[in-house]
Amino acid sequence: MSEVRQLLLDTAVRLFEAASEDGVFEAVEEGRFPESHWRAIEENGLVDMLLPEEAGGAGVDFGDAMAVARTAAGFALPLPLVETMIGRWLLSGAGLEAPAGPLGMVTAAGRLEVPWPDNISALVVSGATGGVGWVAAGELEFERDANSAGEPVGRLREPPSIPPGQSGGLRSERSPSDLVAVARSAMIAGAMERILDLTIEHVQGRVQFGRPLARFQAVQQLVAVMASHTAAVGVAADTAIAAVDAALSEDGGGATFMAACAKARASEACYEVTRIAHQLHGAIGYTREHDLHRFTRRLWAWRDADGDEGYWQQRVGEMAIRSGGAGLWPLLVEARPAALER
Amino acid sequence: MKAPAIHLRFAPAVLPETAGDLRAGVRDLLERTRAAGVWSADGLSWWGRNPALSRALGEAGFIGMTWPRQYGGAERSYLERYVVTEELLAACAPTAFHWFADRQIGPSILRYGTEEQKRRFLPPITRGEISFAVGMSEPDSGSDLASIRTRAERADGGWRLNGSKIWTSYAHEAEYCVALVRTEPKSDKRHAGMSQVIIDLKNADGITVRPIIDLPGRHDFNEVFFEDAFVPDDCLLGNPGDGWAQVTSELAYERSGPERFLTNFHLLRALVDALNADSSPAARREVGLLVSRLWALRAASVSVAAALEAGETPNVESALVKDLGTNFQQEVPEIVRRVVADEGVSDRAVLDILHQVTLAAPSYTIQGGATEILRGIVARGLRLR
Repeated sequence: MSEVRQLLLDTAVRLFEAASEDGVFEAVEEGRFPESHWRAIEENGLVDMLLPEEAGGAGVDFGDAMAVARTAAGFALPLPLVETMIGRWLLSGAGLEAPAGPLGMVTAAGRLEVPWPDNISALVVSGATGGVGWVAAGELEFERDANSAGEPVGRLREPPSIPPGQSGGLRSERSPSDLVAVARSAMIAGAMERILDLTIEHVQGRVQFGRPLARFQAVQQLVAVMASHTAAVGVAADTAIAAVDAALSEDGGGATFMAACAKARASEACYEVTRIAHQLHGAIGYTREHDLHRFTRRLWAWRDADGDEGYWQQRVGEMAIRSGGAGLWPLLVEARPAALER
Repeated sequence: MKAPAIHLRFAPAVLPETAGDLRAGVRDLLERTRAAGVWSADGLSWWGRNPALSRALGEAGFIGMTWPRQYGGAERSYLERYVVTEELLAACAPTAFHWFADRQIGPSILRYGTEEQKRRFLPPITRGEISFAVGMSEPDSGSDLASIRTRAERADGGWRLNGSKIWTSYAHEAEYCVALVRTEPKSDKRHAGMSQVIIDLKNADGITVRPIIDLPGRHDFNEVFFEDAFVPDDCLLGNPGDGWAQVTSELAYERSGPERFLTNFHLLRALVDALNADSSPAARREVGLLVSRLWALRAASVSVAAALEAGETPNVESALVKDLGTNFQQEVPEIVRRVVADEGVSDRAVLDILHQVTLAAPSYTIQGGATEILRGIVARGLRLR
């Protein structure tokens, strides 16, 4: 791990540990935004880390930012850090000044739903035609609800229109829907790693019939299945992240195929991982007293966010069918779809 | 709450820059030999045996690629070998003739063999001239390999073998078989007293090969009986008593390779050809489900290959890849079957391959380490046992 990344993660872990106290989650469930924790994250430069140094950021690479996103997910951070981080970076890349404060983000892939509608300053919007823009949150009419993680969300009936002067073009390697899909995959990987860790800890410590649950073969087999899905999601996210960084530094291509595969795989795995984790935790996992729910409920929200597995599987399927039988293997190894149009 | 412990590491890996040229070289060779009628994609992939194709691959330097030049190798990296292997699988090329020698037996001879054995066996393997079978399982020893009973007893100038091996693919055609046998009686130490021997199948008395017809109806498996079969001293591989350590040291190579998820790639390829832009959203989703899983599996497998290249022994990670990969392969025909029904696919190629693959599918999760065993290995890696 690079020194930059290690430093970033040390800071991140310290901030996320503080933000994962019981009181914070209780407030979130009641719809209160953890303002002081957000400010601490902002003050430590995490929301602007992707921006180049001349634009006031830290100029870290996408992989560094995603390591922070994955770590945040491992603490079930109930804040729109990733949306804000990517939103600010995209706006800056399109030559726009990003509004201050937390941001929401909607793209061509996901639903028209954003966490914290009453606390974000603006919504970053990218439609099917590419490009990016923003609209002040106060100008939007949200239908209010909560997601399965218990965070407040606002739903829009139709894609918002962007006021003049608040939108700009983006280079193809900065496709917003691809980038957020990759980021969400990294977050799903981070939450799964926590869930696996909690599950191992539980089955090692919980004694029934005179021995730890971990000694039962039926339990071992389930944990192994869960670990294999967790590993597959992790390596899929890492591979897509590396592809994004490669595309960014080579100024071309893009990571469309890999982003689609990574989110399809990550969302799909949420069912098996949450099912097994709850099965092995037994009744205590089915309560708000144990920490497990913070992570499994987020997986249920995140598998749908930024395009669910059905959406991304369909995209992958289209790329595969377009490439044809003879082009399928080159697509898998070179990850260059036959045509990039949406 | 502290940061979670990361229990398994799959660092994303990058294939070497030579990968592009290697791919082009393999594709070109396969195209030329196919056009010349040397082989056709019979759907068996690495289970299909074609000596002429193996000879052509040997001539091109694609067998024993990582071995030293003095023994016929090309001194390529393990990742370069990986690229060639996955290209052969993706093309569904029949490679069984050299597969086992290239994947595990050659590397074992290189690592544990005498200088004389290396000179004798490795060059003809790399030329695609001699073929090896693997003698591991026995009628009473499947997953519990350490319970084998075939014994080798000291005789003048060598060893006398008695017992039998089973599921020995192509023992009826291969020149040699490398078998794990007992050279000392069973003791409290379960893994002690075993050795590997190289058996000349064509020139030894006391060897009988009985064909076993497999579920798809093919003759691939055999049961091989040894009745006082003589193995000369110079055919003991490695040190007597080290057999267990020798066979298990190659498991990571054997388990995490691309054959654990590409065996029926031709079915997916045929399905993609049978669909088009007008296919239903459901069909596109099913194809995307399979392709995204395959892509993630390949990323995991390449990651393990890179760890092996770096000199690590990722036994837990490779068991995990084999488990995921073979379960994926097993689901492929079921998912294709749904698409075929929904879309009314009547393409003969798809239906024939689907039929063949459905019959082959049960074997994926048994051969080379059964699912239950692999998950036990993963569980041990997670410190559950």
